[in-house]
Amino acid sequence: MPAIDSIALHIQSAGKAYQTASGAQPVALEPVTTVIRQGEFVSLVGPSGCGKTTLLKMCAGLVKPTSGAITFGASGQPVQPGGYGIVFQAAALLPWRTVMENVLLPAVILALPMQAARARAARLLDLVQLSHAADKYPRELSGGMQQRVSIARSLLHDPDILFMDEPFGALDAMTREGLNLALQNIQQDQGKTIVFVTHDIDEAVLLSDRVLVFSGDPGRLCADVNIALMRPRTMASKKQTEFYQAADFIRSSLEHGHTNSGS
Amino acid sequence: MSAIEKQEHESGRSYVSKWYPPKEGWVSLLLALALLLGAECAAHYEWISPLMLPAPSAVWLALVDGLQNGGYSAHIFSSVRSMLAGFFFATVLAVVLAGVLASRPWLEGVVTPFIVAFQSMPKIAVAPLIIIWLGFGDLSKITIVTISCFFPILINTLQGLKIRDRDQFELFQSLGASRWQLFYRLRLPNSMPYFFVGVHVGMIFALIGTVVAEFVGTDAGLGYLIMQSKAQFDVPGVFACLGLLMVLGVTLHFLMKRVEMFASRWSSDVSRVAV
Repeated sequence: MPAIDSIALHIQSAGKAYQTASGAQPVALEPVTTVIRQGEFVSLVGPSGCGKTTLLKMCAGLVKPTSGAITFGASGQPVQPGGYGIVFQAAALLPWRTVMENVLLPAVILALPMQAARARAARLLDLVQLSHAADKYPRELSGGMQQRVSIARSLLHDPDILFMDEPFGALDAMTREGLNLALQNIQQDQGKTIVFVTHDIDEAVLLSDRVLVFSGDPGRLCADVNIALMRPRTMASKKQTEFYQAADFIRSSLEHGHTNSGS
Repeated sequence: MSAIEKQEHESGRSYVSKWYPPKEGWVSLLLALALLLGAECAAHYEWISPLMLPAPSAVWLALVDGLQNGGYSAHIFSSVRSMLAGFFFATVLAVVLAGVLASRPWLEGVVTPFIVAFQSMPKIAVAPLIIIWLGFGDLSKITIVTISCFFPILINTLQGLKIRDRDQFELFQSLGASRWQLFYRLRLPNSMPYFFVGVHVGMIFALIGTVVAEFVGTDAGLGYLIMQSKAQFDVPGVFACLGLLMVLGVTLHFLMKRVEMFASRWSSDVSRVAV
């Protein structure tokens, strides 16, 4: 297991409120303070509209917090563009580019050497089991396949930190399990930091070192659960006591947080 | 067989087949031939004065004569050259300006009132002024064509260059794309369907602009030929030129459609395709 010693993301009272025309300020996310260490796999779990995606995008520097700040490492700045990979909830593929060309987009924008990038793209498409679709256009693919292309794209420039917003949501169980394990392998082998949004509690427990549980309306961090399962984890890990203890705790935190918010 | 057809078959009556309408293209052709025949008869039996509607045969003779002896081809080339040149300059200027305005909202706000004001004025009314400034000849013709078709291309391209997908925009932001990369890799390809709407409209205005410019101040081109024929009361000659203009417009439209098919393959109307 890679050493988790230095801090990747400092999240200091980062919150988001939206200004509406009437002057009211609906709070999307109440201030969150926590830390994400390098090489850590952290999942964000919670009901729809609890601000998980907002927090993810604030960590990536795409959305500015209205209170507090999120900084990367020792730089005191948010994460540098080009220094991270991101998978959106909707695949966001460019419809005029083929699958291969979409995966190569980071190499084009960041001006990376194309030959190496092409080889890497082919390997990534193989990883997400879409090598046969390399010359197809996004409109010819199903939603799940498009999302897999998006995952391959996020890994092309080999970023140290990945932000993933429900990347496996549209996939069938078999593919999902395969990609869960593949993602774990990548993370363990290369020591990547991963911030991962999911609705699936079991998936969060399987993949993560830590699970941050959010309650909804307004979004609020209500629990920070350490997952003590041994790595590498497999589907068999789901049968361990620690697994369902963690999953139960998260489930009850969600319900507790739900009742607490009074909605 | 459906229940009704089965009944009819069993009762001994002949099988009633479904009437399939003939293919549209053939009907259009038939209709065109019928109209030409009608016009020919009208002229022959003098139902309509030949000054108003000459016989298609007379128009055809005028056309053939013009091409062989009257130097029509030089005039056709003059019109086509000016029209394409004007259209090309208008397209380049419009795309560049749209590109600048699309990524600079403040500038767009400043320039928009001017665009609205100038767009509302019929540009061909400016043609005589251009002749005064630039004199007779190709330069003023091309200028008139350029200003005629500039605005539709600008306005439609500007609309197309707006980024409507938040995720696509954030994707480019996450990679630290420069303003140029954002334009070239996201805005421009995305704008193709809108751009071609502008182009199709622009083509029509370009043709109008060419003919009006030729009416007002040149000695070459199909518009000039029309004026000349008019002066000689050569109505078949005028119709021959109109026919040539029609052919020109249709050919260019067809060519543009082909280019559009290629550039906008990714963005077809899904409600039209049966899967």
